[in-house]
Amino acid sequence: MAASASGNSGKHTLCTFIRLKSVRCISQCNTSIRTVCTSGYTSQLQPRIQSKGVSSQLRGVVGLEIHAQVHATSKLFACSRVAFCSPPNSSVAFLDASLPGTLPVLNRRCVEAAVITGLALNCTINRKSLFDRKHYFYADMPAGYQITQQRLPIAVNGSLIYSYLGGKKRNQVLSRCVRIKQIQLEQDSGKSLHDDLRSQTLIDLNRAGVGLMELVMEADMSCGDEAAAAVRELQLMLQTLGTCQGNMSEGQLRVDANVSVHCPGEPLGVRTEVKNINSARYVARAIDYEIQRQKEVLESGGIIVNETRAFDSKSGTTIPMRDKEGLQDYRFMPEPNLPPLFVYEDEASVPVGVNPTQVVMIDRLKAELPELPGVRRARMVDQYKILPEHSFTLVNEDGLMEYFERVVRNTKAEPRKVIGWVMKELLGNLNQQSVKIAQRSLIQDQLDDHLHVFTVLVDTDPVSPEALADLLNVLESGHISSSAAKMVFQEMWKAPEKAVEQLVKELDLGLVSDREKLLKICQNVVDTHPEQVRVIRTGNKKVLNKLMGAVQKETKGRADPVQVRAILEEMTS
Amino acid sequence: MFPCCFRRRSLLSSATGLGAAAPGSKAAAGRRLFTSRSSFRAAPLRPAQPRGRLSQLPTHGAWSTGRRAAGCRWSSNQSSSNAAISSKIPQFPTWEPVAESQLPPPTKVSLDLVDKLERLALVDFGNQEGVNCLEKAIRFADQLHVVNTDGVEPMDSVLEDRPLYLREDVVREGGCAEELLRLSKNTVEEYFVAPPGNIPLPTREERSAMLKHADF
Repeated sequence: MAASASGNSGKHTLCTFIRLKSVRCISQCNTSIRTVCTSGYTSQLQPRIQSKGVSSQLRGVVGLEIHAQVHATSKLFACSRVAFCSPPNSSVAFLDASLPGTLPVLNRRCVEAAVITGLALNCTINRKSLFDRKHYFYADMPAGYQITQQRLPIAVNGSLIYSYLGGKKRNQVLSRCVRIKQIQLEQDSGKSLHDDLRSQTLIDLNRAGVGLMELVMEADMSCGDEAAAAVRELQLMLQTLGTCQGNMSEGQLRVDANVSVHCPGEPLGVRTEVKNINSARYVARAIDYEIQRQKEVLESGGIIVNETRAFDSKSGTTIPMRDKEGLQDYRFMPEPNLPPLFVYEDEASVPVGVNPTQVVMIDRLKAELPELPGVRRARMVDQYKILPEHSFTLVNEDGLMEYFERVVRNTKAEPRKVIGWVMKELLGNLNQQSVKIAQRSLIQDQLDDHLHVFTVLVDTDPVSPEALADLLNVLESGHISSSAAKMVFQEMWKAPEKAVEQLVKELDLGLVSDREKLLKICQNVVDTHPEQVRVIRTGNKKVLNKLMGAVQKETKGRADPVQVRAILEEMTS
Repeated sequence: MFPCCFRRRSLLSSATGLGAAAPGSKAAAGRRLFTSRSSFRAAPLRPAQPRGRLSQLPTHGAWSTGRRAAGCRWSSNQSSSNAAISSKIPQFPTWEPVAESQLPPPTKVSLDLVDKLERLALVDFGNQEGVNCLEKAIRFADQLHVVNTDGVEPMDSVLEDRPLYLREDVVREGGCAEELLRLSKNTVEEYFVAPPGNIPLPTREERSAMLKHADF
């Protein structure tokens, strides 16, 4: 990122900005010096002398605000159903439509979900938390205010530890920690469909009132990759906990990024908010684009305006949003209809005479926490001695870990070999299959973010764990070579009902270890390749591989490589 | 709300006699009747000589926390003609006005603030009289600054002693799309219809042009 920025600072004209493909070009620049306008900021360009050294040190600063929809049957304050893709306005209670005379009644499941998430993220759970009203006008929020927790949220001061692939070849697993400022419960707004043709907006209140957990992260990240990795990790964690299904394409997890740039050591720059990021893929792209844009603006002498920008996935750029002009004053006020929310530490701290259904106990929820992804990965690495990168893939794909464990249980082969097979062969085939499915139904977005894609495929995976275990056993015992085993695997994929032994016999892939036969074949090869033999005899041992390849071709890959190598070495010495 | 409407009217007529009557009730930390005054329908909303006008009444020293005092005290001077009917409502106002010197400086509501409030709260100030009304209301509320609240936790809900009820996660409502859509006169295929985005308020210049035609 820094390298490209310094490269750009060399170009002093503003013509470089034209490559930003954007439709909205706000031509408010009326300085005579520079006449080319960019879409992106409405400030006037001020001619300022910027030293190239300073501009190339600009670093991005990213903070995320994540809204996760609580996985519950009913909404946060009303008894209507939480349903995705149901007929418009069909699961709307009177409270969601803000009809007069309705009052909010808090859903216990949402409180528990927030506490569970807080505990998993090492937060301090506030025993007492308060609800507030945040006022702003928009058609999809009929009440004119949103009930949220601004003064005293339910959980504060946590941390999320995530890892991302960094280093020069992006294969180094680097561990990072981002601080969580607070977790609060709030209401979702309805959905608005913009109909530009008829200049109207259609409002669907099915989503209005659904419980959201807003996770506010501190600005500890510096680039799009880190942010994307953090989001992925959070997605996985929430799915494991069961508090959120984490499906970004369905809107169950929404990410807004606050992006600014500054030189390290100096105060933070003006930040812009990037919205409309609909998929985990776009998180990195949107943030990287915004950081790059801000760097270019600063290098050319402009200033960054504090605004809200929408990410346009088609062009990969951010565009200023129309309705969010100026700084909003939300006029926070305490919610008069809701007394403070109390959660209790343990049995002993609950006052006498309180109904047990009214009590949310922290230690009980803590005891019921499932195994978190980080812990699971550590266990995989510990127990099976696999590489950390592989543990990531295993835990990431739903169902893959169970598959792997079943294979390991049924086979004599070492887990490290098994993981190699699972990673290369199994995932390779699954990837191909998913690519075909994606091409057929054009749901690339969903498949990218839907962490359950492989559960579906693993369920329909032709090669069952036991079959793979069989294959590996046969390989271990020395009946077939590894390349032959790969061929058998492909056949098993196509014809799952056939057993391993049957396939080996059919394809005649049994290892040829008969010394006589091998001697004959090797002699044949040595005779037909005199040139190579001479080269080997002069000292270049690498050419031996060529001869081995020839032998394997003769035997259709069935020759025992160890024996063949020994024989060839003998013959060519 | 008030049974003795006729007495109120007589009280109003004797407004000028307040200056003399008030010292009599110095001992009484009386209950404020301000809220009742404005909501009472029989009497005019704005008395000809509004009471509590700080500039007009002589100062009477600090006014204690009478707001939370329970009950009201009798004013012994009953100049009402219907003294036979006893009532817990004092015959004369029992509050003591607060000295101007004790209050913070008056807040001026600038035009920018008026703009902002109109945009945020969608209230229409109408004209300068509306803004004056707001400034007077702020001045009125400034009297709260006289109260010493050191070490007192602010109360943000009268329900602070009640436990928050947590309900079970079951579905009991919904499925009334037709009923809800009937409330709106403009619907499209089971969706509510709204204009595209928020309609911005007219700018100050446009508004003042509108106001010029309005009453002033």
